Amino acid sequence: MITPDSLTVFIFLLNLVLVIVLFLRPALTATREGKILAFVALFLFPLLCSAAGFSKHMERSKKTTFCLSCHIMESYGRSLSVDDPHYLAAAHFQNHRIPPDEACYTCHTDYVLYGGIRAKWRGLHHVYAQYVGRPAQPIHLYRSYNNRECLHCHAGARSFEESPTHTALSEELRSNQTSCLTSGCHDTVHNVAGLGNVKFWKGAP
Amino acid sequence: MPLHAIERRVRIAAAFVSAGLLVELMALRWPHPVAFLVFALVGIPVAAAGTLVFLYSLVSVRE
Repeated sequence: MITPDSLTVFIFLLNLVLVIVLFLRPALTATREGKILAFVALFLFPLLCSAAGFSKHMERSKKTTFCLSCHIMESYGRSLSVDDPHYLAAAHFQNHRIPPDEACYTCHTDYVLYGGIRAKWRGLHHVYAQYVGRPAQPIHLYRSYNNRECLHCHAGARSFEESPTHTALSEELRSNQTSCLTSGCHDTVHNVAGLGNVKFWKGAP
Repeated sequence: MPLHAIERRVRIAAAFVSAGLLVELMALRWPHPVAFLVFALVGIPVAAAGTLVFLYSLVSVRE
C-alpha cells in the first residue's frame, strides 16, 4: 500500500537516480529533453523533496515519542501512565481525551493564529537547551498555563458546561483570571516529584 | 572529450544536489530531534547550492 512516507522516500530515490544519471552523463543536457530532465532533477524535484521532508519533520515533531526522546522528559512520560484519575495529564492520555500519539503537542501548543509555529519555535529552543545550553532544573513552562488551551476542547462540552463550579466561574475561566490548574481544582498535572509513591497503569493507550 | 562549461556545471550541481538529498533522506530516517537540524541546516543548504549552481549555469554559459 502507498503511504505518504513511502511516497516521500520514492520521490527522494527517484530524484537521486535522475541526479546520478545527470552526473554521469552531463552531455544529456545538450538536447531539449535533457534540459527538461535537468530542470526537473536539479530544480523541481529537490524543491519538492525539501518541502515534503520539512513537512514530515514538522509532523514528526508533534509525536509523543519525539518529545519523550529527550532524557529530561522521561519522568513526564512516566507521569502519563500513573494509575490515578486525579493526575490530569495521565487521565487525558489514558482516556484518549487527547490523541495519545500527539499528547504533549495537543496540550502544550497555543490555540491561536500561528500557535503551532510558536510551539515549534519553543521546540527548537528546547533542542538548543538540551544540546548546547543548560536546561532549567526543574524544567518549567515559559509562562503560566493558559486556560484557553483547556477550553479549546472543553468549552461547550456537556460535562464541562453542566458543572456548577464551571458555570459559576465561567467568566473568570475564560478571561484567565482563575487558572484551571493552579487555583486548587485541577492542580495535579504531571507532578513528577511524586512519581515514587504512585501506582502505574500497565495498559497501552 | 572535454566537457562544455555548462556540462561541467551540471555535474557540479548534480554532485551538490545528490549530496543534499542523501543528507535529507538520512535525516528523514533518523528518529531523533537533532535530525531536523541536520535536515534544515545541512541537507537543504547543500541541495539548494546545487540548484543555484544549475540555475547559474543556465544564465551564465555562452555556447
